[in-house]
Amino acid sequence: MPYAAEITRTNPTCFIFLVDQSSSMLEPFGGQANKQKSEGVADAINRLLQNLILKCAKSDGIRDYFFVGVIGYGGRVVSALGGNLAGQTLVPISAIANNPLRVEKRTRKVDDGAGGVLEQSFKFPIWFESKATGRTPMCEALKLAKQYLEVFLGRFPTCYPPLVINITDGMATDGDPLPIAKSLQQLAGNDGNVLLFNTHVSVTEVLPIEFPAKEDGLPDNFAKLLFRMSSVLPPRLFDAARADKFPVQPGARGFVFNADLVSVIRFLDIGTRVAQTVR
Amino acid sequence: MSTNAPELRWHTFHTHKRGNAPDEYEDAFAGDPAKARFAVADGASESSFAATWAKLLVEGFVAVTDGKPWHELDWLTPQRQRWIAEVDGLPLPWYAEDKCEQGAYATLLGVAFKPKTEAEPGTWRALAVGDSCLFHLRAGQLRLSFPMTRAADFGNQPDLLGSRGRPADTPQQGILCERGKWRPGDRFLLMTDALAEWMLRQTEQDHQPMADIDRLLAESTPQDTFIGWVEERREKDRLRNDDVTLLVIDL
Repeated sequence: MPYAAEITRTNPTCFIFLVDQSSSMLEPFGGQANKQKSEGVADAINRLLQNLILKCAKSDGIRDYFFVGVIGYGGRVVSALGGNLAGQTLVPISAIANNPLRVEKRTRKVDDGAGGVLEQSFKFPIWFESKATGRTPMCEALKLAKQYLEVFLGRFPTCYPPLVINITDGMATDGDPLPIAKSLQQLAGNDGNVLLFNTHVSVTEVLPIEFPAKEDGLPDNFAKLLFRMSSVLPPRLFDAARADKFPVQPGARGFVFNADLVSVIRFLDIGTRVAQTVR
Repeated sequence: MSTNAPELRWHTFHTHKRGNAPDEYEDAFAGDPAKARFAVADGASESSFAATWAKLLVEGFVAVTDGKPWHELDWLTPQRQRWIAEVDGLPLPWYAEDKCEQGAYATLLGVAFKPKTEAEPGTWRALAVGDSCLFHLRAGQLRLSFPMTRAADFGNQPDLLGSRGRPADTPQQGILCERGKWRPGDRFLLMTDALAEWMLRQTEQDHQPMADIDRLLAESTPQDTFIGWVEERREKDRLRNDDVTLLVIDL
């Protein structure tokens, strides 16, 4: 059965994040006048990286279950890793963990156990700053991801299939991304084809849509295109989504609209999970 | 031997997940034959300092002097304080600090035996949080498994006990309890999830998993044989690659 390979340090898998940094990302995010789409995207990618790291964090350090690449596409299509990792393509998750650009102190509200709310401070690492410039060369970004993955699959052919997460407002300016998305999904290792999931960050103010199985209810053509570019959830991820109370229907795809894909990190199996609300 | 404990023999076996280092084993086991209390626990791999917590849980359980209400886990509080004393204040990078703040999590399966009296047969009581299991056998036949009864029911999100004891940590199904009677010659097995799932699957398929355990016990170096046996089960019988712990108690 595909999508069943164990994710271990000797047989790691790979995440590639494609991040839209084009000038259209200056528009407001999901109807919030004071937040730009680019800020929503920066938050999303930082949260994804943080959750990926926490999944691998043990008391004695980070276990390298994942290799990670971040590709920004706006003015140029390049690795968006910064600081000590500037210019690198795929790096082990421990390198990401140990090299944030900075670590901010933020606060969150938690249940105090007596019916009240307690403010708790926590560290929020930043790897990725919001940026919005130039056009939207999504096709180029998908092609670069494909190059990264060919190298990775050559090195780890028995890996759990790599995941590509594209965060965008969907308006590619360098052609039709659908055929390139399909060719990316044709890449495969012994355990199955590469998965491409899309996060649509939109100016439209609608309730978040998560893992739809049909494109009918989607609000615009960009959303429909991204839906078509998204892989169907493999059975175990589908089951994990259902167990996490997502109302998924057969054929559900790795596509979310004005929501995030942090849940996908939870769905991956690296051992006994702790039921926890991900921030 | 205390007069309050039945005569028994017990053996322990354990091995770590393939691909991990031996010191990354995060199950734990403990037994006190004088009190006739035994426990296994499985530290959740996605939490940090889970091995420490699993060990504190089993040690806490076996150290209890019986007579206290079974449901009140008073002994958890000092164990939680010990865990916190051990980890809080350690200089940690941001991610380890975050995981430490979340707390560690583990399953727990504990059993206690009482000797028979002139009027009453011997009795046992068990409690469980999560999917570590107890099996009661008589004459080689499985009489009961607790709390899991089907191989298909194992998942990767069992109920867990948290080291920080926050309200959100309360196990969904609560603390499950079971009790029964034992006779001399009965055997009890305590297992963490991977082996328990294997045991139930073998039983469901009319195989004889007990024959394997008998052979292990007959070995001159049972623990060494166990490691090879587990590796073989992983290869041949789809034993899930995980830390594995087995306690055998013969009454």
